[in-house]
Amino acid sequence: MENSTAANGSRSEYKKHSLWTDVWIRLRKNTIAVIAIIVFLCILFVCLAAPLIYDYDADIVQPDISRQMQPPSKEHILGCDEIGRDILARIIWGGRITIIVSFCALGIAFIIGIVLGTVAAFYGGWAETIIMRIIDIIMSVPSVLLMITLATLIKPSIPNLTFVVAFGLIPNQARIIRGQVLQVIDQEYIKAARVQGASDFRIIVNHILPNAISPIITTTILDIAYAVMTISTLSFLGLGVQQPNPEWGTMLNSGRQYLRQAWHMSTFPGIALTITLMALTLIGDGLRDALDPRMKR
Amino acid sequence: MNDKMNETLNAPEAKAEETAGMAAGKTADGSENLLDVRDLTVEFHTDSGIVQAINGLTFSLTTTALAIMGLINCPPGFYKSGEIIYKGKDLMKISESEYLKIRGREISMIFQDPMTALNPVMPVIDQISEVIKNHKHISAKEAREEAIEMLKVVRIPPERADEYPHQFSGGMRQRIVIAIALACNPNLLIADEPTTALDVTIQAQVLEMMRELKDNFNTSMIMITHDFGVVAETCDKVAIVYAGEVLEAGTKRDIFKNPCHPYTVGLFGAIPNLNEDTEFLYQIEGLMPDPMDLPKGCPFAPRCSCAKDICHVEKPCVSRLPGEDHVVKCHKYTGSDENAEIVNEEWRDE
Amino acid sequence: MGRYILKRLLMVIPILIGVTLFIFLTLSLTPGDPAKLAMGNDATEEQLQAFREQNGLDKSLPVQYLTYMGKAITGDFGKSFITRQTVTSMIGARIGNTLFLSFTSIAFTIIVSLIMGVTMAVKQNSLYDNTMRVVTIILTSMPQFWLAIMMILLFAVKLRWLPSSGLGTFKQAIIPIICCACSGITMCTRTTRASMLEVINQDYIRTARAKGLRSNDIIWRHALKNALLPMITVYGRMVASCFNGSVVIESIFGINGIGTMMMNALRQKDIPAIMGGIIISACVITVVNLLTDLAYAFVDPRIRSHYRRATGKKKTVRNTPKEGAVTA
Repeated sequence: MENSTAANGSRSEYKKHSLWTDVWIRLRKNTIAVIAIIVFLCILFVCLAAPLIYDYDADIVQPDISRQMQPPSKEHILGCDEIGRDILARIIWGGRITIIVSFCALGIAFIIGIVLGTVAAFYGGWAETIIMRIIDIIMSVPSVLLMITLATLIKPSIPNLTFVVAFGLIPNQARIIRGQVLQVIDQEYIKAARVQGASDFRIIVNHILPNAISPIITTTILDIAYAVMTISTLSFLGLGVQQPNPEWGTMLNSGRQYLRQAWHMSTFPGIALTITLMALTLIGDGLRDALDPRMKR
Repeated sequence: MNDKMNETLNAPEAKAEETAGMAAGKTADGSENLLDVRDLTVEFHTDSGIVQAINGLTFSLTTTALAIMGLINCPPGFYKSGEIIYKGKDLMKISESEYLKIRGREISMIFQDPMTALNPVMPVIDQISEVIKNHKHISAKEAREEAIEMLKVVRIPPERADEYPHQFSGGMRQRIVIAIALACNPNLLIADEPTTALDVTIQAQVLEMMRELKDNFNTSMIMITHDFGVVAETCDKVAIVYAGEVLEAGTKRDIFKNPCHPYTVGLFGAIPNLNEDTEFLYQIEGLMPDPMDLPKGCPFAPRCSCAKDICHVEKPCVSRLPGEDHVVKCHKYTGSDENAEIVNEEWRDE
Repeated sequence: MGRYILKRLLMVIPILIGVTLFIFLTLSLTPGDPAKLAMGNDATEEQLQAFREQNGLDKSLPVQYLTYMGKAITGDFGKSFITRQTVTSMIGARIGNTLFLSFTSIAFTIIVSLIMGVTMAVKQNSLYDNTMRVVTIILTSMPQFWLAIMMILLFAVKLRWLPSSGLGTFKQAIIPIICCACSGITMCTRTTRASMLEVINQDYIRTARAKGLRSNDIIWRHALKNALLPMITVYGRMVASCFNGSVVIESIFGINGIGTMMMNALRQKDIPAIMGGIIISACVITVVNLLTDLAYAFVDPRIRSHYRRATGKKKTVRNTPKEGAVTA
């Protein structure tokens, strides 16, 4: 009994490994996806290394009226904003905030989504009814409106922002995971595990989730993009990250008011945002093709 | 032919090719050939250099059939060389608009899998009347009436005309596909394994119907199949094809009574004999050759039990055997007939 | 079919109750006193108390909620705390703008994306296809509000061709509609193209070609209807995202619509206005979901017969086509 489950475990691990090796080999052939991954890793690296490059108080927050709205120059490659802060430095620090918040939100949403989705699919019955109805209810409010509502009502701070974004991601995560689990749950190997006397927890963690999760990876990548987009949108509307803290959406919001005087203020943060989102979209596309070779082309 | 093949194989880009000779059916008066396929080469280029869905015989003849219909997708498929002569016209050289008049009207095709061959969101009657309307240029109402006639011909109750494909069984769907194919009374019908996807009980029904309709509509038919039962049931003349080459051809009687090529013999050996109690059926050893890397000599040589050295090096010529139009392409028979070379030419023209 | 529609419409009721309850609780339990926000900081305690009594804020939460819902059923959504207008008239005055913005951009999206998606799939890997793929990827990745800012910068500030705000005239409407439609167009074009490519390689398209049909007939008669199936979900989702987008677009272009109303009401904790706005949006989304499901049945006979069978039985099958389609 012990032996057979152990063998089972190692086999599924081996299979998982070979699946991802396959995916990696296919992904590597996709030049565009590889470039996107490199670009995204660069963004990630630069943003996470922001504290090493710029000092938060001196470079990001400290105004310098003498450089007010200075256009791009040698010292300040992307120019300065309305109170003379270097835009490049703020973009890098803003990216750091955006990325950390979006990853945290995604992590929270992913865990809660997995729990809800798996419980709904695995146990069915009233648990499923309650979870799915609540999700229906949340999804019947336009997501931006819902997040605006939540963000306005609670005090704007970075942890609260994370919570709001996670809240917006959970319903979709839970629903997709439930769909995947439902597909896996009828397979013979689940019945086989059950016959062996494996506990529900063991079946879920060892057998269902590894098989249900791989198709979700693509949506997860796209969810990061969605989270980044949401954070910037909320900040743009003045509901997310607040001045003087930098964030791409916040920067665009202040730049918008000086559109006539300083075009660079609202151009460069947007370009940073677009490049990040584009890299994520392309990685998602590449992963999808790599996971499902039938869909190639 | 040999030179051409080597040339294409040596070209740098990844490709596979199908070379097939195929001659079929006489016209109603029996004087000239209705269709003549010569040295047809189709290449498939793919991104990764791998040709997908290569499945030996099925692949090669389905490809040939699609080439006759002018339905090779481009890309990835390209016509490399060869001729498809239909009623004296080379189909490779005619324009797309001329081709549109031939497809469905003069040459039509029955596909292998009836489950996917019909449009799932269109009532079956529309799918039949469409082809009639398209070729006969009549009003929608008249086309519908004719389509209902066709449904009756394939014994589907006309009151089910407005139902959708998913409401029919596999056998019924195949009959609908047959109705589409025969709707304009074509001269030539290509049936690509029409019974493979069906249940055995339905197979007989569909074959029976095809034979009957073929006679009633006076249509020539090319039947592509793996199943000697189907051949015995429906065909007059038989060509045995291996790796895109005709290895033996003749009348049904000649082939069944006197199979000569080792491959044909092997195929017949794989059919269980009801009168004998055999433990194991005969099996041809080995696998289909890789279409990207065909053997230099006889394509069957690597698997042939009576292969000699020459078989691996040189392509065999066509030898004529006793019987009506019975020809074989094998070194075993070369020289058994003094007129082998001449026969080769004759055979090609047929 | 009729029974199915009725059943789906009845299912809207618990969803609306859930939505209102959820929003109501969030509004009531989060910090911020609506009375103080409405009356200003220098209001006296008596004034605040009077305001609370007048608007029923002094009662317990269940009573407040039930009173609100009781009135809402009769179509009375209460009066705004701030403007003292009825919520119905506030919404009535603004919904025109929002619907105009949403529906023109949806129509625009569907037409443009169908034509582009189909032509791109037909001319797969051509120069046109590749260029448009790059363009759609870039546009997909551009957040709506940045696209709006850039268009204002280009067309209103630099070129001075178009005005930078409002929605009244044709010229004013151009930038907002394009911005609102843009993300939808790119999303739909990409999926139309993929779905078309999938369909073009199906056996029944080969059958259609074997009939000798012209390629235009094959594409528009045979392929498109099949390719539309997965598109319906995307269109449904796009209507929702257009509604979402209009909040941002309205705030950028200063358009007086539901979105701006909601933003202002939220800042001032104007509970009746917020509830009204949310109910309207939830209704729109639910109706769109219902229409999406019905559209499936309209296009796909397999699902149509499934509904016929399902409504005959008491209980629907666990994997309804809608859910299957969404997870797909």
